[in-house]
Amino acid sequence: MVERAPPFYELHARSAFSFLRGASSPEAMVRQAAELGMSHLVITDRDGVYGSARAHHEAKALGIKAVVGAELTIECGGVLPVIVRTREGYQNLCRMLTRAKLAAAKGQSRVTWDNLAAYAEGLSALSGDHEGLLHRALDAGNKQHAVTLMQRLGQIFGKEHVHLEIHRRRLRHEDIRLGAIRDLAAHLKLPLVASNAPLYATRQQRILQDAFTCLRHHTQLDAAGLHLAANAEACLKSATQMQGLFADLPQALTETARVMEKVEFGLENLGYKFPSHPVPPGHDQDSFLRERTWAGARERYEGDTLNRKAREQLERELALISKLGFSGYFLVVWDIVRWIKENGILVQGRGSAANSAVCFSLGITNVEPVSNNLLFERFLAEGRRSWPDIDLDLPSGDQREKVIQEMYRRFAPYGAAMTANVITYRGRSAMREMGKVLNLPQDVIERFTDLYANGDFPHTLRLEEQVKQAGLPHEHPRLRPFLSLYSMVHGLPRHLGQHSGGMVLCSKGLDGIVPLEPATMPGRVVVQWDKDDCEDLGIIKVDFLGLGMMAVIEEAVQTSERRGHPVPLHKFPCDDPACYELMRKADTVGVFQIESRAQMATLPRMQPKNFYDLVVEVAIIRPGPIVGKMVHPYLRRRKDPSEIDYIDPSFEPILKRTLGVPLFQEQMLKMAMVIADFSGSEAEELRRAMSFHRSEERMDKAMAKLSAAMARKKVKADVQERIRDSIRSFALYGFPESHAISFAQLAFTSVWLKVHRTAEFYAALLNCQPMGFYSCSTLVRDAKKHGLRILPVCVCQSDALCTVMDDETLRLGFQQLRSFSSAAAQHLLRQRAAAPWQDLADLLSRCQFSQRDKRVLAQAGAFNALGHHRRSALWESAVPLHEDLFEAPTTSETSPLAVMSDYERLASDYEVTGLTVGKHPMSLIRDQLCGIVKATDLPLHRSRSRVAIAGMVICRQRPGTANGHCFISLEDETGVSNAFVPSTLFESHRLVITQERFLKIHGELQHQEGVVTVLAHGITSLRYEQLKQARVESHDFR
Amino acid sequence: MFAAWRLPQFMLQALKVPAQAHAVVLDGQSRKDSPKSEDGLLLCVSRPAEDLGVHVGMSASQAMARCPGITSVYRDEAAEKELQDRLLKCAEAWTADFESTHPGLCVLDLRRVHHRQQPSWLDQGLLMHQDVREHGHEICVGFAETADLALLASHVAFPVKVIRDSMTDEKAAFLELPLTVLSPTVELQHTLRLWGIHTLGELKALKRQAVGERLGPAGLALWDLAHGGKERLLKLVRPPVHYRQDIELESGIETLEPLMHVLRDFSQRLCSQLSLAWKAASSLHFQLGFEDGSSHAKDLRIAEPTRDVEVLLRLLETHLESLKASAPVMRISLEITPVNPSAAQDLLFDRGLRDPAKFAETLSALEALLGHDRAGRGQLLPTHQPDAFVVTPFLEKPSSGEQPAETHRGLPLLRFRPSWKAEVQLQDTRPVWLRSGHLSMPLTGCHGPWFLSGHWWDARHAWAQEVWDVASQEGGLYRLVREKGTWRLEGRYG
Repeated sequence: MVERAPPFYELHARSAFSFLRGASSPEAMVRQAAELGMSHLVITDRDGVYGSARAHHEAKALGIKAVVGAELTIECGGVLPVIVRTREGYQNLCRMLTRAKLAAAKGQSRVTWDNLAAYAEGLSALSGDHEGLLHRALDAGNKQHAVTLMQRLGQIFGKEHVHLEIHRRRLRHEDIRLGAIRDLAAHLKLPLVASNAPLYATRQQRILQDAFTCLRHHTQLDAAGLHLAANAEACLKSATQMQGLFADLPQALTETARVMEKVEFGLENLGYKFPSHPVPPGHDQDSFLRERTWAGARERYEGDTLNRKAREQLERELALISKLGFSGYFLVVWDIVRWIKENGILVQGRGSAANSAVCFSLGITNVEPVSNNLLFERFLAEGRRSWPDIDLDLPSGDQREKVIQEMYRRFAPYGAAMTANVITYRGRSAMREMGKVLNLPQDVIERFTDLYANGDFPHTLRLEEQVKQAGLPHEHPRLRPFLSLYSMVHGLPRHLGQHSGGMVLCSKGLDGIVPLEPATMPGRVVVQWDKDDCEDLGIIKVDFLGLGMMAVIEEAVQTSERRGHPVPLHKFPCDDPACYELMRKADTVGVFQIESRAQMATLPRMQPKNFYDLVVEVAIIRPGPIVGKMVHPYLRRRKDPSEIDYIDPSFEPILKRTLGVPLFQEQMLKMAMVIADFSGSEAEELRRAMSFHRSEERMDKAMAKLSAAMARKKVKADVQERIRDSIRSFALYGFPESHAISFAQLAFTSVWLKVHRTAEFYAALLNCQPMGFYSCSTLVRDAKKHGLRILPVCVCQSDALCTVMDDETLRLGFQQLRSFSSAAAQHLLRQRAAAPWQDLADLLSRCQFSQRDKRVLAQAGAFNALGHHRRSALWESAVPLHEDLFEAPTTSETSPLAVMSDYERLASDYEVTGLTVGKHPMSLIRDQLCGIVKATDLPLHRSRSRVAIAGMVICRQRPGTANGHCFISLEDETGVSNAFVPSTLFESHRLVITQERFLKIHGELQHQEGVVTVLAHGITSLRYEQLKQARVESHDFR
Repeated sequence: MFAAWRLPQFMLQALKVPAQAHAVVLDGQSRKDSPKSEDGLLLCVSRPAEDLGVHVGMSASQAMARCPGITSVYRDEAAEKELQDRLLKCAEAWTADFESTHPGLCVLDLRRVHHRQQPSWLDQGLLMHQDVREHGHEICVGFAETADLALLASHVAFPVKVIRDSMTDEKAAFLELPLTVLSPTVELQHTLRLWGIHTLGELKALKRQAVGERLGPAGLALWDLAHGGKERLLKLVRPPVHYRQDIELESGIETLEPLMHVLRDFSQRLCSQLSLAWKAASSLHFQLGFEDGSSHAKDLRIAEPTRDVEVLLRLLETHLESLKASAPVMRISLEITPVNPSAAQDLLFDRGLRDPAKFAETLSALEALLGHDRAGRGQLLPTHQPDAFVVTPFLEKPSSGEQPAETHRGLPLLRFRPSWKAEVQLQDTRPVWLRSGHLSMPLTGCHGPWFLSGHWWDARHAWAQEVWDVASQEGGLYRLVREKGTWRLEGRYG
């Protein structure tokens, strides 16, 4: 129990969002403050309010208050902690930080004295700790300077809002400094405030603080010396502890309460307003939305589809939107989508917006929700506090950037910014940084990195065991500190990135809502909060997500049109049998969503026959349903309808389409509404609590509410349990049905293109790399399997991108060549357009390429059309160009170099293009392989028979849902074979599996409903001289 | 005739890794510079590891995937230098004319070496092999009429190969040698690999002019080497000049005067040698051998580099005056470490030390009195741990780190070294009675505690202290420290 003590408020706490200056998360700081009995805590992170939203939420949950503050780096280099008193003060702080950040280099901040004076209203200032302005002046031994400084701060902030901060951290000489500050306080009649200026929540985190100090000074613990803390006292302290320390200065404690009394502002009063749309005279936001919606509905609901049901739905939605005051928001998004379409960019709204008939009518989404029976409440419900979520899918790359830049332009100045993405310390980064600080052997750190790849879920091994495998023995004296540091740092923020597409928009200067700062990418500005923080504080985010497949579709459609085969986009016959045939054969390499190994293993068992089957296929192979063990029951029920079970008879209308298996979030909401009488907003609150991955507590509370409601309705205990299980199991990864339908539409479009516009589809696919699941090498191999002829890069024929020569032939473009600059390609194309090449010498003299560019072209065989094989081209192009008119070069001599062998060509292809259009590497060693079954021959073997497969690794996966088991896909000259590696075998062969490019796997063949897999019993590397240079790429652990 | 010595797997041999071990050498330096480098990590691979598919350029993890029990060791440049020096020393025993253009490679010019019994070159090669093997290393020895040919011969030697001009069949073996034996640059090697040129024979088959046009002088040099090289002068290794004088006496010296006479003679000679080379002495190393077989050696640092004989002698005399020997001196050696005379002077009208020679002399006397390493400058270590210091020689520049300096000063503390064990009685966690050594007294006041801790990352050296300043009735002010539950009296103030 915490003893009762006079109130003390910590005014100068730093969290891990001070990046390498604080060692606890804002949530941990707030929790500890609550534990110590503090009712207010001021978080003053360095140059930002990064952690304020998290602190605010945690504090709210614990019934205390997190006050916003920040440490400002002033232009002279010193630091000034400030505390926000009023909303104006908060806006001033944000504006001041925005200007300081945008004027400095990335990661830097310098507040000018002028800006400090201009934006001081509503803020209180502290004199700071050893990095503060005052301490720097005193360190310099210049007392007069210290006096002048405090007088200046008094003029800027007002004397009553400037406080001299004093600390006692149990260090011998600190009272000397304290004495100097007391003298200053007496001289200037300024109040003293006590603070412990904590850098971490509890003493235990001191070691992490020391580690961060080392990282900040680019040193190791052994060499950090006096940079390290002298003790572990920089933690949050209770009022009792502080009273003990400042028994001689009780007024310094009392003063903290006085500072707090003046604080009026909390993040709940942020004052955020979404921009409204300019409407024509005679209209308000609501009426204009109504007009646009009905105009759109008449256009989009063809024939008799705009029936009574649809009309009622539209009316209901419009009424709710108007009531909640979201009309402006819908109009703004409508206007953005309209601009995107006018600029010829493909766009599709996804996510829960697809549940709205208004969104459909406005052209934001392409899924018609009424006929699809989609639940509007998933998108918008009465009583809902947060903004509805509209995500827009755009073609990745330049097109999406064009849209983002338009947003900056449209809402300038300071009206739009990307949301941040907080990059945290994870397995490999935690190991690397903490290993470096502890001076662990470099090879141990590197091996850990190699062993535990990104996204590889290491839960089959304890951390201690992982580190041991990486080469650090159990008895190593630094193992224990390492394990402690690793667990402490895991999950703490490391740096701020930018979200892939989330943009926040604001009507009156976003810089008054949250500080903005430059992103690494030129022309981008980010806010200091991530998307969850923004959402929690009611800031609207529009996601402009780049989808590689959208770019592929856009390009394939344009190419088809150019070639005279226009594509009826959005009007596909969704019952095209050839498309479903391709899906049933799992021939889906390159198509959207259903190309992964797991999807391909399900398709033959699912046997999709219609569009809704595809929707289910998209949704079911996800971590939620897999963990919730929903996949097998669903597949079984497809085969045997007698197994269908709706948990409770009242769920039948809800779960009928998914055969009694709750797959979609809409179903979960409806189930809660039916079984627990939840309102739409209560159900949505339940969903949000469960998808809010940062708080288990929040989820437990929501589940408790559901349980109580079900108990009230006297729902049977076993039914209650089953409902809770099914909700919990896919809560984390839940998928709205509307989203699945949007994705299924894209998936179907890509399948249609693959079937009916094969050449255009593959050309676009290759041009839009990197994207999707497979490398260019595998895509080319698959294209060949579909009868396409892929021609290599050619200086006479190739364009910058891959081009369609005819329905059966593609020509690779110069873009496929690694290390061949796009400037060189453009130059070559300009020269070729001016006049065709006479010969190689003509090309070389007109293009004046660098030696590297010439070598790349020759190596790729791009000069073959000019009568040179690769080696002779290398030989000819190696001669420097002679400008001398009289001395002729000897290049006319025939090349003495031998033609490249098959495997030399292969190595050369992989080196310069990462793929080969020639023979597959495996075909070169096929003669030497004994007893190896080819991929295409696998189905011919009996199930449970012993087989051996071999090939190039194109995919290694170890999903979190697979209990440590691993899936490997091997490609040979005939196709792809899949192996399942049990976790024990994986652990014993981890390095062979992760490091080798070619593998041989022997095991038991498993043949189940058209899905062929080898259950691995043994794995060895396949080492042949011919394969040594083939630098193949694999899709690993992503 | 030329002999080429080649140490296969030089880096592994430098690290004394047995030839039959599965081992690789890693590039520790480049890894420290770049957080993650994908390629070129293995610098040297043992033969047994090579047989399992491990090759230079792989990462350590890839090597481990192919050879699970493989030993990975970091490159040790100091060990390589040591091995290289040893190799050169061995070569020096055979001829004064030899070159070493790469570590682990040595070409000996044996044309002027006279052999009384004229053993065959093969036998001489075996002797050379034996000679180096005695130092624990393996070499391959190639003999030929030219240096470059000898180098090629060393690559086909197991362990010795003699190639004469007439031996065309033997020379044919060179054609199969990989180009790497000629140590081409990475760029050149890549180009030739793309051309499909992997061996000396394939390079030889190309026309010289064509190679020159395409690959420039580096390509031409490589082509020439592939053809056995040209008659050329070796880039001779010359041993560094030693400023050293030795004498072996017929009858022993028993007093200081004759010894100083010899040392004066030595000093004069060495100083004129230094003068010719525009050098000055920065330290003296002298050694005395006694009749009873014992010896005495001493390094004396000079405060300011000098060529002044008198200064050197004063330094030696001060040290020798305190030296007591049990037997007469039979051997004397004096060696000087030369440096470039310092042109720097810190102050405009004054030097750093008023009389550097006198200062060095005093230091020498102090060291003679207290013992080696017990006189110098106490330098606090950059740690919060109180009283952590090292003694550094006066004449060494104190290390000036970027560490923040401790600027606070308080009352002077007379430190008890070692500190005294104490018993302390506490009241409300504060000390009220102290018993330590002859002291036993009530405490009238105390100030503290201050907490200090550090080195937590290594349990063997972790420390944590609770520090108190306490006052006794009679006015004494003491420092008390509690560490691991034990109280100690650290010292007395004032």
